[in-house]
Amino acid sequence: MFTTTVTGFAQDRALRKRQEKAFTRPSNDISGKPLAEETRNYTLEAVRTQRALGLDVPDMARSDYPDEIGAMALTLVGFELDLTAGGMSRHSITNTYISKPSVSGAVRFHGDIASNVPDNGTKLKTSLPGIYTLASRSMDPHSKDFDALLDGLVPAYTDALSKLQTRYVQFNEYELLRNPTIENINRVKNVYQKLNFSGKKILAFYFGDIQPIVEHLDELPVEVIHLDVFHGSNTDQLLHRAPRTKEIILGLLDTVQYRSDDEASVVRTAKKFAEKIDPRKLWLSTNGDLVYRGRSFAESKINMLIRIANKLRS
Amino acid sequence: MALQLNILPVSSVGSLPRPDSLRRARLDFKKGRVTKKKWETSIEQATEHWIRFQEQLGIDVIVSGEFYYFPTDDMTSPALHMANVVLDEEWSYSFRDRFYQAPVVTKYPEYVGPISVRWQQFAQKLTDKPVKNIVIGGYSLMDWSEIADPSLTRQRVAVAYSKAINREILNLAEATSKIGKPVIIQVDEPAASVRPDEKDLVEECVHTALEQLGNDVYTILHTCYSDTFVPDHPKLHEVTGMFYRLPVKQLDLELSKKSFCNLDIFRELKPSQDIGVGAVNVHTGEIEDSAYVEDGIQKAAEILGPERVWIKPDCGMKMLTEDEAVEKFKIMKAVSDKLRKQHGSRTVAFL
Repeated sequence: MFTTTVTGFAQDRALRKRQEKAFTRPSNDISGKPLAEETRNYTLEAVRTQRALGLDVPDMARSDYPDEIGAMALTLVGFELDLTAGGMSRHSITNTYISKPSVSGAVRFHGDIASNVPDNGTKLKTSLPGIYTLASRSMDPHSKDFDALLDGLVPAYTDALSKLQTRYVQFNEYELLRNPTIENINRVKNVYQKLNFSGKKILAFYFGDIQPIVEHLDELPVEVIHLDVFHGSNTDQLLHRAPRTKEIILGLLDTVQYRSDDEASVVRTAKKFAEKIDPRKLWLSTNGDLVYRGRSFAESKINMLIRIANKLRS
Repeated sequence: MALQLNILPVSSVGSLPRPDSLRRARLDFKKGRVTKKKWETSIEQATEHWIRFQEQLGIDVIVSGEFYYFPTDDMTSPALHMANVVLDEEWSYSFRDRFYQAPVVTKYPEYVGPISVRWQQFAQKLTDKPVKNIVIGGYSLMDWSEIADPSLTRQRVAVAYSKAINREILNLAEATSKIGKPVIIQVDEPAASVRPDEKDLVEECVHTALEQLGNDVYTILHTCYSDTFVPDHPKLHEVTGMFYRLPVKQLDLELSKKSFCNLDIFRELKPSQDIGVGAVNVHTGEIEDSAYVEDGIQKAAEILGPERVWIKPDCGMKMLTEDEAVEKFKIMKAVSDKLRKQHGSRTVAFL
């Protein structure tokens, strides 16, 4: 029963201010190299903190600019990023804005994804924006070119992943919960079927109701699925209809509603799942990123997660 | 007191750019380096500066600029003047390089006394023009607060905040009436359309906030900050239905940032309220082309009728520089002047 988190750790204000200046005011001549090192040092330290707290599979704790979606778009030819605040939109149900790139041509990977991942991901879970999620934040899924964009992203992602030594890669596909039609579920199935990656693929669905997709989880061509147990009717849905062929990461602790978790209640929920699902296939996690609040909030969530895991293991 | 304005009146949402002197005074007062009197003087100076600007430009409905926020310069700061709410020492991440300190709810919030009444009255007395009274709504306060005790529910925290805001609104209405001005109350609920599953709670909060308020008050609900209230959203009908049921006389919406595409919603789903059309984007310092703003307002006037359209920015302008805000005000005013001539300048009784 592994413990893990999703994607990011508490953000550092000073680093964020420096990143903003470097990207939006290049005339200030802030060299990219020290900033890249500073960003890398931040992620290394955040990963060390997660390990020291006892997390089994730390996430890569990304803090690259401007956010997960924007950073991925910057590594791809064929995407344009509007770095003014007008080029952003709300991130799902959070109080955060994230990038809304636009597509300007054929997609190809050209960036340096490995340098942003501590240890090159060998002892980590690397997180990337889901292929469908990146596409649907960049182009209307009703557009006639949307499927061509997905087709273009698959080799670009395959190329990006080939630079990593990572064992687990998590693809954050929260946008599917905002528009969970059969057509879009099939699109997600299709792109991950084509994606060439030798490690374990994790699809993460959070910040929404999973009811419309729960019947299809077993059909997804990945080894692990992360599910948000906190929102909507997800707990009951999953207890009765959880996929049986996959490893499941339970997003038990909420990171978005800014409220304290009732630890006893979370333990009871986790126990119910452990009775239904082989504990060897069960992971425990937060439901979303730990980026939104400060460091003590992030550490308290991880501490609680580990206490819950220990109770269940015993 | 009647509220009579020319068609297509120009107003603003609330906050205005902060002078450096005000920022310094807030920080110095917080750290105990200056007296309360010095801090209050800087609020008065900033308020008067922007009221004179709005008057000279001919803005129809004035805003105070909301310079009184304390201890943080954030729209959640009114929560910190209630019982059972404290300031989080840690910074919450918003986006890019933006952080804020969230209110932390330890028990259900309670009203302990006027929060902004003194400052909104101060602004009212500086001008003969009508001035909006602005409060943040209970739902958004709850959504942006940390609920520290897991036994407290989101629903009850939101309603407790709304009850406290209701007391503030009644005090604001009474104070405005006493100085013989039309009473305009704007409730800001930026988070109102973010979680369609909680739309009933939003409705309950707005009803609670406006309880006991007479029909002689012009009420506005401002919302923004969401991608839900757009034409192709799967829950559009549910969300707009909720907004149209709200007991307010105007819906004040973010429209410019979305290229006025939301206006098409009103062709099919007719609103029962007046519409405050967000005409300029506050998330960029780039100044809009006046033709872009004019097209948006013209479209709104055609769909809704010019008697039901107010012109204002998408949201508060405190993130802009003073020069940027001034230019955006000027464009809104110029567009209003031009379209008033086209549509036949005439007075409309909003109250």
